[in-house]
Amino acid sequence: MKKILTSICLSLALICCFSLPAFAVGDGNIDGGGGGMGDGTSTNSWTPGNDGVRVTVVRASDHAVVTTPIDLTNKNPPSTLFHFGKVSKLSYSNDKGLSPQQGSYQYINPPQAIPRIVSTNGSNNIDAIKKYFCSEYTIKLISNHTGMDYDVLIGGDYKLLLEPFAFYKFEGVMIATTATEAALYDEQVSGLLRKRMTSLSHKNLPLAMFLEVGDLGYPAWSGSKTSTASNADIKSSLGLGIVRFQEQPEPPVVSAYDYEYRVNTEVITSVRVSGGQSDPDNPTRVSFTINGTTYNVGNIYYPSGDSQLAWVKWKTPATEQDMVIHVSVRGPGGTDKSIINCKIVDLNKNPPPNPIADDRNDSFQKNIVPQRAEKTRADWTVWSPWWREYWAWHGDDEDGYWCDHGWWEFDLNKYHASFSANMTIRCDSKNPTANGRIMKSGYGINQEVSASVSSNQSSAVTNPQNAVSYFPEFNYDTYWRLLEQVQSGSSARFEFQKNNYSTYKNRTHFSPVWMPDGSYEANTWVLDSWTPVGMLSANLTDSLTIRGSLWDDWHVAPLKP
Amino acid sequence: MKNINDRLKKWLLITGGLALSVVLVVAIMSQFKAPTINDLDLPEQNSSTQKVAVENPDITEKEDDIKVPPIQIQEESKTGNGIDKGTEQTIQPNPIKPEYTDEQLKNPDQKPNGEKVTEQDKPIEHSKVEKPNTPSKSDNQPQGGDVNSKGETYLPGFGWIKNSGENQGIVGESDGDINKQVGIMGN
Repeated sequence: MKKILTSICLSLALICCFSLPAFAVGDGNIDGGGGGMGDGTSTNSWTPGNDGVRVTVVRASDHAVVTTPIDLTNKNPPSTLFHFGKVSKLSYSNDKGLSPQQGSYQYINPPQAIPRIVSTNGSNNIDAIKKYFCSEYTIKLISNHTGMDYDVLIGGDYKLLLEPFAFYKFEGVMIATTATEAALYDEQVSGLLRKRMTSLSHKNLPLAMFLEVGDLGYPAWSGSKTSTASNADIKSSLGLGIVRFQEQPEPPVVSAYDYEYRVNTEVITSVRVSGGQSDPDNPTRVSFTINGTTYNVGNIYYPSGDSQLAWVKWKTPATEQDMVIHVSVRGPGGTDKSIINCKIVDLNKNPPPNPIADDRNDSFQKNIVPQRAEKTRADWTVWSPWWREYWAWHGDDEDGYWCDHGWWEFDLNKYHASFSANMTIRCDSKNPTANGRIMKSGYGINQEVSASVSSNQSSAVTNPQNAVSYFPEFNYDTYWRLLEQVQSGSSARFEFQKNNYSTYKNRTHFSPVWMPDGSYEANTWVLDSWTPVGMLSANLTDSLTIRGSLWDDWHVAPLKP
Repeated sequence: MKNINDRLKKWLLITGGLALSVVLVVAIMSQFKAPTINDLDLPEQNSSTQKVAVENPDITEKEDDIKVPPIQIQEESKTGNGIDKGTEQTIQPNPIKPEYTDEQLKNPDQKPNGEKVTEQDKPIEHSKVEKPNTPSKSDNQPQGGDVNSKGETYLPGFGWIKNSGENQGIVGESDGDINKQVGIMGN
């Protein structure tokens, strides 16, 4: 009680002494109208105004980064500054890692000063920021310094991605980070940045800008606008603004379900757990109720203020269905979802019909191979607690004893999975007139698909389990073949299923007899290697050359008398 | 003669019965004897089995095999694998909290974890122990901002990094109107 009263008195005294609101963890560097936001020591501090905005020109249609990002700031940071180069949030979202460097930091000081970007009191300066970055003045400045033609830039096909950044002292070094970089760097130092600079790195910097409507693949932020954010939330949703030049932002992608799985497949379903601190003395456990079975998942730990993915590995049923997974939590944390909607599909229901020699398709036009979801690398992290001992001796030498007053510390372990796949099609072995990779239309093709996954946490990954092939004669859409897994495991192999229409019951697909001469390109999507952060998959193609048709191998002649 | 004959018959019967009994006893006893001839065919097999059983190298190999599982477990814990089968799963191995014996906990000359007792480790009441704000720093561990003999600076989380030169700051150029809005942010 005495300690609590002392703390309250000290806090009141501090509030009276300083005019700046106490969003800072400490008070050591608040002077001259500025306010420190570090831990109040000379090694961890931030001076308000040491901020700026990174601007990246992005093509609206495919979210491609089309110019090197530029950093706008009112300040002149020292050459001892560490930074991570000119990398946009979009690139980090595509799994680019941090690449630190010291010095040679490039920046632009706009003659018309930028309004305050990162606040010190939790109330962001978004109206002034909007006015400044939507102005002709700033857009022209960005055009001049990115090399992007101004009229093209404002034509509607491009958008500006804005990211607030700050430069501050962390553990004795000056460093510049965007909000996304701060979250990534925090993971690199196992949460030390959050511990030292949380008010800046995990609150005022990421909350300086966020989206009101989803755009460029990032969602609108509907979480807390006043409390510290987790690294996962910062990376997915915070620390960004978007300037567009047409009235409507891109339409949101609405999905009726959270996961789409295939039947009879080992899959992983995950939720993010946050709230309080989860450690071995006060653990969080998550239960997934799937199809009447409850799976309990344990050893889910995270430090206060952060979060952790929790996942369950299970096998989907043998029949198509929509499925609801109920999630419940015991312990200090909560999940982002209590219900997960899954769609279980059977890809083996739509094989091509029996090809016949009289098939015709005079209006056929080749389509390009469509894009399908591809992901060949997945990265996730696991907070791992370890006990820091802190021994104190109680009592006399003779009757005394050592007592451990330690606590749980957390390391952030990084895991990844890499996925690779390859496909080869070749002329069917029963084709009498095939010549290498050239064949006549109407004959069959064989296929071999190999897929492998490797990971430094194999328990969090499932092996490649499915592959499905699409063909040009069906515009890579109407009919498809689910391949048969002929070798399971982390290095799996797939081939066509045995074809009922094949005289020899070969593993073959017949090209249509009407297929025009030229390239015959098959497309195979290899999928269902699951990780805690989604599915690994690859969209493959391979082609043979069609020259002539099966009819060329037959001729009509009068019978010998 | 008739009497003699009767007596003779009587003795003959007794003697014959005794002789038959002896034959039967011998015959029955012979059935309980352990087989001998067939066993002689087995020595080769028996001897080879005995050889395998007593060969030291074979025993050593088996012992090595038995030692494998603990090594695998260590590898699993290094890779951070949890339990991914069944209805009780984990996302990582169980954390370990060290445990000590009473003897270790009551030894005033050494801390239970083996650390030396320093002058700072004075007896203190349980309720007066306070958690230190920052963990003690290791003398050998470089700190952020430290500069090594190569002139590289230490960045926590990444290590030693060479300074690549002076910053390049320029003044921006624009002839646009700050009061004219051409872009849209938000709704």
